[in-house]
Amino acid sequence: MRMTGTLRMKAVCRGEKTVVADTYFDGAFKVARPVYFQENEPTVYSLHVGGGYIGGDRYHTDVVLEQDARMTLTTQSAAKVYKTPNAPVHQSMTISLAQGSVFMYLPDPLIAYEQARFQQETVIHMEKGSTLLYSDSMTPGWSKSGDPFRYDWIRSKVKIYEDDSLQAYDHLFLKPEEHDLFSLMQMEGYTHVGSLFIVSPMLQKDWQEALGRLLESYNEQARIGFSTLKNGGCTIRILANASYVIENIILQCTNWMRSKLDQEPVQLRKY
Amino acid sequence: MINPMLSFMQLCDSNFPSGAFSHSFGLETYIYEGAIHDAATFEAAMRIFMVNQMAYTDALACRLAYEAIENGQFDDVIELDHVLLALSLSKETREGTRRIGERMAKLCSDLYESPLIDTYYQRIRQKEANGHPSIVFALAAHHLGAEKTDAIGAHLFSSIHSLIQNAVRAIPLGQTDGQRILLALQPLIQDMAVQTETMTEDELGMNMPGLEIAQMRHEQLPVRLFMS
Repeated sequence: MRMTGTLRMKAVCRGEKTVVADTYFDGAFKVARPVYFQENEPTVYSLHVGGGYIGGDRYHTDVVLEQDARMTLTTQSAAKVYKTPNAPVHQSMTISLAQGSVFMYLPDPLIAYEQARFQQETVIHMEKGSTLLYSDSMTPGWSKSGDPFRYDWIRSKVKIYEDDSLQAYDHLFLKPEEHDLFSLMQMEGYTHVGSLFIVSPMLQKDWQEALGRLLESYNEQARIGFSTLKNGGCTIRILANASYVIENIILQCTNWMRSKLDQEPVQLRKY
Repeated sequence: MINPMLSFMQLCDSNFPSGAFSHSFGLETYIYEGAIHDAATFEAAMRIFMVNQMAYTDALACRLAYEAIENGQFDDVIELDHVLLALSLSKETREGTRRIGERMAKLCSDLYESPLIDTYYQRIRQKEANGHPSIVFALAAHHLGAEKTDAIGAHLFSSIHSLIQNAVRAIPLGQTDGQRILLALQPLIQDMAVQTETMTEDELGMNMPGLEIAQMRHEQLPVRLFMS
């Protein structure tokens, strides 16, 4: 099927440094040249040149990290999903992480506007001994009526396999009208939802104490749950009323994890 | 000859020792925080829980397991077992469901002469499967010659019955209130059992962020009656 945007990249470790080899992009997706905030780790910015996602769009991103490679992937701005009258927007991503590699995915939020339908499916295959930090967040666009929840639905699947065994399968479905998104168990009065997954050999059993204290300091601004995945990994779910709250929480957790990996705090310098 | 109706009554009885009485699957968080505090708030919460969570997990899983058994595809049952475990992001809910599944599998393996239930329990013991109540229920219902829709309805009924019994203890509610809610939810159970037919496999495990957070936050509650 014809893709609206395709992005493929492979990160390879050469001595102390990771280089981004075999970058390919087509259609509405582009990547800027990798930025080295730290010598051993490129940060790659992907961008959407079309301004926004519309109905029937299909996007695919494919990321491969070879052994011991380190890379951070982020976006240059939020993904905006506009009205999709005929067909939903479909976005897929596959991530493949070889032993010893470290991949961090820190995208801007997804903003779904009036009557948007958006489906994303991310499949991550990691070898034991690699590190994954995967985040995402979803927010409503604001329509003229001032009503925040006018998208049709957002559906998101994230599957994490470690050595080919399924360790976590996150399947979120947000559908405002039918389910009264504000209600108990749904968004509980909040407008924004964020998620974070960390799987890493450097994630010690005591992560709940360290991150729990950090997350507790956001109790006034967000409702947060965290738990341990089947393989000992970390999962965090956040409800809040502003993008920056979710971004801050994810950034703090990311920097905490980066210190465990001897990486400096993340710098994205976007704005 | 085993009578499916009487057997269902036994499987769904609150005295059936599945261990479900020790689990609230996040509802205790709402009770602790006060969002669920009486019969009306509990019944409203149950309806959301049923339509948006149980429908896509318990009901759909029971249907898919039943169909795989019917088609003689036991490997698909095992695959479903692994997917169901991974779908549960909260540790307590994941562990609780697994434990109930394992206990039910052992019990049903002791009660019925069903090679498939025996095999499923053996696979759990060998750590090749995890155990899930929806799968055991489908296996038992199929063994008893029950129809698929009845199996789904009975499975939902038994899970809901346990949750109501737990709420009666935890909120607390009167016993009559509990029974009244169970009766009031019956038409919804029936609808859900029928609606499950129209779902696609792709919808398995769809979940709500608020509920997941409540299930995760249960781990940190200072006072707990339940294990999840």
